[in-house]
Amino acid sequence: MKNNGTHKLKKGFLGVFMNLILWIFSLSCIFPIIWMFYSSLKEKRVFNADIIGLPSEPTLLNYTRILSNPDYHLGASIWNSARTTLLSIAMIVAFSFIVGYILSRVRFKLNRVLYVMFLMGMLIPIHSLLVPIYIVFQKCGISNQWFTLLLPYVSFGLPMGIFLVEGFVKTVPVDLEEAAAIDGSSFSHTLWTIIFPICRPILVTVAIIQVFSCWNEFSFALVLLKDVGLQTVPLALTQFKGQFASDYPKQMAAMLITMAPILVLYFAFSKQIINGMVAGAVKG
Amino acid sequence: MNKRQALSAVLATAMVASLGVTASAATPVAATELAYTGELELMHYSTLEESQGNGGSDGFRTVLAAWQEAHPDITLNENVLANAEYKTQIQTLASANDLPDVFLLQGMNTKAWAEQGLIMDLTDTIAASPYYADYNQAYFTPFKTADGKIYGYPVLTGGTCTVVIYDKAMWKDAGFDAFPATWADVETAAAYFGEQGIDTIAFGNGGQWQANSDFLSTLGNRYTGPEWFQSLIDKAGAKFTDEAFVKALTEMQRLFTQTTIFNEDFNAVTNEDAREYYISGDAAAFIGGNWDWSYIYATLKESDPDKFANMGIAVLPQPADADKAPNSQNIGLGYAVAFNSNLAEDPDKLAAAIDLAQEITGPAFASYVAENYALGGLTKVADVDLSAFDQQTVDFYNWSYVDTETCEIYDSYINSAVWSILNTDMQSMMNGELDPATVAANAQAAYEENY
Repeated sequence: MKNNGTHKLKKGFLGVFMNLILWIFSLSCIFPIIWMFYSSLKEKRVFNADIIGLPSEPTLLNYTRILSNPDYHLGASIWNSARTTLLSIAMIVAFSFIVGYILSRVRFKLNRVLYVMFLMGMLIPIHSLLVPIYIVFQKCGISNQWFTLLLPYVSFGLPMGIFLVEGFVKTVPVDLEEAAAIDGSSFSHTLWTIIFPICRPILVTVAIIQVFSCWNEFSFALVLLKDVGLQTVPLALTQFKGQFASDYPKQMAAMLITMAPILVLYFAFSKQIINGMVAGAVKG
Repeated sequence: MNKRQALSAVLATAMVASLGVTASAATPVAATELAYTGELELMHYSTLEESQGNGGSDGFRTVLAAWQEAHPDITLNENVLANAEYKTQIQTLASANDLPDVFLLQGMNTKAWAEQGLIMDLTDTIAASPYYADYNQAYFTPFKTADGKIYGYPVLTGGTCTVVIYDKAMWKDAGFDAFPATWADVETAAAYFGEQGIDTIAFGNGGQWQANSDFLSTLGNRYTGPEWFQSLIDKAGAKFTDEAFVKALTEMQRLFTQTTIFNEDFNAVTNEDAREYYISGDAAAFIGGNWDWSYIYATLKESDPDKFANMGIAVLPQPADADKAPNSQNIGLGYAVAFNSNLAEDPDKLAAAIDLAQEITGPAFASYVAENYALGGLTKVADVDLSAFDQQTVDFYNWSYVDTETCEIYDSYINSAVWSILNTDMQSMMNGELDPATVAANAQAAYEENY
């Protein structure tokens, strides 16, 4: 009886301890957002005097200054980022699925060579390619266009997508496709109506990883775009930083404004996102 | 530059000069008749944010807008990025030999880009400028090569990078009617301020560049004199390992590691944090650049009139074993308006670019920044009317441009790779982790490898 009580006590303490650790981890993730929010309600001087403290006189001045000044072009940058991200994701998911499936299922001579070549894309640091890519784009006349960023984003997004899809498709029984073939289903019909829905969890995982990657991408956007009207969100946010001083509260207000579409996306699809992450973690 | 390009440059210059300039009532810029119509690329870093409170950027944007208004047939394609991103993109464009028509050239890139033929030799063009007689010739130094060729019109404002801002009342209480002229006296004052529980001088080197730009450039000059640095620029024999420079580093290390003058966290906080120590009264003085002075000035004027009235400025104190230029402070223009060398192929476009460069560095700009910010640029303004400014601003203007001896800003020259290594090592040195001789040797190795 006594042993049972001690065991329960130990279990209780362990539970509290584990929960405490999880709370600390959760807070360490959430606090920066909370800090950004209440700091955005401070004026520059107040923030510089005490960067952690709560605002004594909260003000929406930073938001009104940003939203009322067209020179900051945050709306245009959000649109540019959204358009580039959505189109990139659509292409990454479609190409990753097709290429990943073929590399997983179809046996041909250079199958593994091709697979390794795709995977090499994950090993190349993009900064080493910035200048050559800029020169190629410039010679081809495709730099500084609304579609300029699609090519590098899709190219550098594909290796990860193909890697995940190829691994996932291997776990799908071939019997399914054979049964479909016996029932008279064509290759493309089987691919899109049977395999594609089965692969949805891993494709959601690919999409999630790439949405954040494309939305936050900075280096290619900086080098390949010259027109201010084409700037994406990360590039537009740099304008709040001066050579010798920065207006951090205004920068945080701008960050929160530009984070809004991603947050909406997250809350709208949170269930699918979590399912996708779990599926990717287990089967990928 | 080949003969054809040289001829084009001379012709374009002559065209601009022969057209003459007529003052326009509607805009502050000279309304020169230009033959060119079409697009002109301009890349700079005077963002809206940068221009707020920064006189140079505000003046640049203002005069640029006026120039655009005066030349409606020319479409100015502006690519405006924050300074750090600007530097990355302009390096990429230079690597791809695709620099914009007109851009801001950083002093330390002049030599390499000139050798690669990326930028246009503007020596004759600048000499033919209608404002040439009023140019402050010293500002051209970072944009000159060893053979005397000039590659840019120095732009924006020349503000000090090393100024001591102190609270006169606090120092009077410590027994000093003015800020001490020697570090020995500052150390005496540090004992008093230590008893009061406040820092003597606030300094922030969290970004690593501050120790170089806001301290070493001036301190080094006190030991080496200007000839040593000029020799280093010209690769004429001077070395980072020369005794005088090592002595400067040694003194710097002593001040930061063996005295209690500075705030303990000087290597962790930036200048933006450190100046708050001064504003809040936690430090009796602060060392920074003209941008810090502007911030402290504006903040104290609004929030603490008494402290604002007690705001004083001084040069860096003189070390006991230094014997050069005790009244010096480093000042200069780090960027210049430069042209893509390909611009020579279109004389009309080149003439438009020259006109633009002359105006955004000329009297329109100089008058604007003098009248609104009490700052100076490339073009000197005769009889600046400072009557509209308060005493603090007048004092700072006179201190910056009249009463002190000037020296160079180290990192406006040579090569960023060299400064990157020196700055990182200096931060360790100021923590007592590296000795000055090693810091100097590493800098010299980087200099020999990269410059």
